[in-house]
Amino acid sequence: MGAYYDEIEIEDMTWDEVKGVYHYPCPCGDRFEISRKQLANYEDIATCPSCSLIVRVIYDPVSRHRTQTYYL
Amino acid sequence: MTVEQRRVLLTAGSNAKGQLGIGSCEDAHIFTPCKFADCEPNQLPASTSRVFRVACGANHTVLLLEHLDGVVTLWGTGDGQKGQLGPEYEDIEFPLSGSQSIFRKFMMPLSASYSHLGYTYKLIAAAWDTTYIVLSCPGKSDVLISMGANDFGALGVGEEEGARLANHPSVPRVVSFDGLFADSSKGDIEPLPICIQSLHAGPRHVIVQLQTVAFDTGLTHSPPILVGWGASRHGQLGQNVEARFISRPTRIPINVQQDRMVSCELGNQHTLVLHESGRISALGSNKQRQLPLHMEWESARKLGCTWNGTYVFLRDGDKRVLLAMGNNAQGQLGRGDATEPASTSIEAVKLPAEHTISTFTCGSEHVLVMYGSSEGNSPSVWGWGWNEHGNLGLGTLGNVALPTRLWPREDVEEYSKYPQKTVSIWAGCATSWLVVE
Repeated sequence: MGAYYDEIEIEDMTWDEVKGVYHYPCPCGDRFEISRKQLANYEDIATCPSCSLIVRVIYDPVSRHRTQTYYL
Repeated sequence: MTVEQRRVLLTAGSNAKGQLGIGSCEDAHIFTPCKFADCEPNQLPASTSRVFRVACGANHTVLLLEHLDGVVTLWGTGDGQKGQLGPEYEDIEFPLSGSQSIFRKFMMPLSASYSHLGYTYKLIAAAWDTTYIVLSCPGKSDVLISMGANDFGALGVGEEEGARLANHPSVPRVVSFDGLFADSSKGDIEPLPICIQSLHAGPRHVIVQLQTVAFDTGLTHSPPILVGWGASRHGQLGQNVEARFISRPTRIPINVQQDRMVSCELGNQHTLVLHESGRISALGSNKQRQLPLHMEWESARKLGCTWNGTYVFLRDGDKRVLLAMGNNAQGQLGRGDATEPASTSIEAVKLPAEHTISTFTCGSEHVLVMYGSSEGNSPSVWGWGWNEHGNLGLGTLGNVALPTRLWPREDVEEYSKYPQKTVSIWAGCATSWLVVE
């Protein structure tokens, strides 16, 4: 992952109708955001307006990567 | 006559929406006193005997204060736009101005229903934009109130109810636990009162430990069960389905009836339960190697979770060790280096050996440890990890990969005006909290 704080699947993000962005919690209390337009342009970096952390957004059609999940 | 001691709640870190309650919306890079409405400046209300708990959401903070007369009060600050600070903030414009960002005492949510019956505060927790409050009253069922945003079913009231009330965000709701106990479906028998033993919230999911109580037969408790709701698609609620979230309390498949639970901690996408035997039950994402799978340590006493990390406190006689695993990109594992994001090894945090850990607490991506007092030394607080918002209170913004002393600090002149003895610690989303007296 290198420079990314995390890799986030689009299904884990929330759509904000008003701002037109998908967002995901940032550990600083603000949120990582990426617009639908950016996604349409094959951009995949969601940024946080309040800090330097960035996440990579995993979405179709680029790839679909499933987190390994463990059950008891 | 009681001699009232001066107690101060100190805080540092991320403060964009006034979540530190220091009378500003600027980040605090050194420990700064919290302000309380209608109280002496820069200290806790004079009648405070104990800070029972500080619970941190994304941009809001709630806390319970216990007073000398035994009364417990609820206070909050920061962002209330989603209703996470309750109905009293309904008419207030957000974001708050700097000077408005101080802790204010709440009226008890749904007080018309519960306050006059003698209900008092028992527990609080905070998820991302949602607040949870447990009220209790002798001889009656405990009540869990949720208020704020309903993203990922966070309110725990079901999708229909959540949607129906979406336009009234600041209306607190009562979370129902009906039908969760095996015996509660028998005919038309009145469900037994419920005792909520513990309440745990991560950013997007909630776990509650509860049991039923029979008062008429001399106070007998049923074996406890775990229930949860919220984000679920990484398996953090143990449900073998691909649902994004679960919007009402559902049984968590961790048995706490024989091997009781001693500690429960939630990361961003993982859930951990420490049992009496030292066994750890783990659910959820292991992408950052944050799950101690199939692990047990007989001497494990307490767990901690950063968003993507796990900490296990071992106490064996005089020997005390804090094991760390998971994300280490910002030095969160306290090994002296910030290397790969997902560390594949489980190692002890490099804490100075001459001190004895009394407790520890995890923020979103940083950790605080409190050492007990030992020969001539008063308790001290050490911390490490992500520090971009100055949340370690060191006056710097660089990440700290090796545990560093945060309090007391004789070399910081500013700190000499506060009491020096730390009594409790908490941490939130790039925020740190110390009670000193």
